Amino acid sequence: MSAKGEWTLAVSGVSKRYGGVTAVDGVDISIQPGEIVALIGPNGAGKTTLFNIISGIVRPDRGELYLQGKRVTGLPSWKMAELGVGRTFQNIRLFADLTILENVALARKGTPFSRLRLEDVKDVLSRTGLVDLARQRTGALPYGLRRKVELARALAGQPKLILLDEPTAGMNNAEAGDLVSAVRDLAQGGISVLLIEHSMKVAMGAAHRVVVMSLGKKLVEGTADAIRKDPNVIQAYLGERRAGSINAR
Amino acid sequence: MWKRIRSLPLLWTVVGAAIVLAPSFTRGVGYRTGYFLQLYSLLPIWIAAALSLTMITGYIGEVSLGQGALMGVAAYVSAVLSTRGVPIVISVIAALVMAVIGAMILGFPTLRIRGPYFVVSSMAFNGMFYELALNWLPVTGGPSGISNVPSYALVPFIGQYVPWVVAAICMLAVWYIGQTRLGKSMMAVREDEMAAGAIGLRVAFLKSIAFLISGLVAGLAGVSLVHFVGFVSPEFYSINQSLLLLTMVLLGGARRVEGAVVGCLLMFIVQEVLRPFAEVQLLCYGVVMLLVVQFFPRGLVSLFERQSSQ
Repeated sequence: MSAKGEWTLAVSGVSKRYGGVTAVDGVDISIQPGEIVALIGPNGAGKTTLFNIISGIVRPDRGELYLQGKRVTGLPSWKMAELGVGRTFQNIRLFADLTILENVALARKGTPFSRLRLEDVKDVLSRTGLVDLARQRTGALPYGLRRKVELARALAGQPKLILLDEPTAGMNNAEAGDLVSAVRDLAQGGISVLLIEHSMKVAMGAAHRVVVMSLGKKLVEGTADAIRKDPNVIQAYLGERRAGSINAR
Repeated sequence: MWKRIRSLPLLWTVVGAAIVLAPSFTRGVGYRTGYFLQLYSLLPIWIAAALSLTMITGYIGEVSLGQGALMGVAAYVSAVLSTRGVPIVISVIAALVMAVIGAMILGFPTLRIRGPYFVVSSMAFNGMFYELALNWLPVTGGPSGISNVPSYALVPFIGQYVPWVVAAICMLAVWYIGQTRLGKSMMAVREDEMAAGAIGLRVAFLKSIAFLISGLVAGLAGVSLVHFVGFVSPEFYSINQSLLLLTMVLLGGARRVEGAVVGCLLMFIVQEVLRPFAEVQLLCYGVVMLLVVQFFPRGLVSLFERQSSQ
């Protein structure tokens, strides 16, 4: 864990255009070690593009990224992973023809001619309850398990920052609750978590801080309570008419 | 040690014995001996060539129609040098180096493009090689190629086993890579390039390594072929050979070493059966390919895979 007050991640003035559309427009976000930040906003707000920028998949047109004080703007995704950025994807991207063990073990460093052994990733697999299934091909697994494998794979890289893109999508309340407590455990261990979430309940319940995006811009950020009462958020996110429902969901 | 030898599957022992003894039997039969011996030695060469495609199509996940040209680069380099007095060892090493360089050029576009786009660029690669071999008369001899290349085929006893040794080395190497982190990383790239990058795998590096190994294997096949038949001509390394290799690999199963072996064996048999009907050969390949892709997208060896690994 880094020194107190030092940012794990600092994003400053980052922008990305696709043709005529500005997907991300001058966004600043900072996350401290062990902090959970939820990124919310309507579809097309630029949340996933921002994730792709932070994980090195997309190069920003403008702005800078700093990881633990070191400038990392424009580094390729494998380098970002090596520096400690782990992520999951909205639509789950596992290596379908490989086993759970292989999926997870590949995220951990090793020599090229070694074999992928269970012992190497037993810690992560037992933490996520996947040890017994380790030899199963991931392509045939049910949805919930695949989400778990993806999380385990992201953790196997021993990240300092983990990006979760809609981790509770398709989960029932109990499963979502489990995930929230798992995320809290991660944060307790000093890992910073940035998550995109559509369920207000999860976002507001899990996060120390909430950032609201709309049309590529950061609209507002603050604690869950502050966000809940912010009239701009209510208008942008839910539309004025349904303002009352934000607390109900 | 003894225990390990004993536990070797009976199948392998039988296969090994059959390979070693086959030449003596065909000699005993006395019927078209030379022809059978030729097929006997060509089969492992094509197995090695198919394995070069297993690396690319099976492991890294790109369909290449340029493998024939990689073999051709090696075959021509070794033929040109060895017929001009360069010792065979040096000509073979130079050939392998050139095949690897060729493979890097062939593979370079995959750093930018994927799927059908790469298929087209690999076809173009093969086309360029073919035109070069056909038209660079002073070096390649043009359409008539180069003959009187030093051949090991007639070296007593050892000659006929050389291609099998080469094929065995290639099989072991490709199989071994598939078991290691390196091979599994390549498969991860095949399955999902973006996710592979996001967990720290160097996609471009892995692709380059896959093409490098593929070039080496194809090069070995190429030099084995040219120094067996003793001559080289452009037709050997045209796009048709690349297509044949792809058919073999897809038929057997691109993702496993056994697939290349099974595919080669079956295509050899099919070729011999269809030899009198040369005109319909290509049509039959096409039909075979369609049927395989439709009904066994992972090739025939997938029929024997254990259910538990599903």
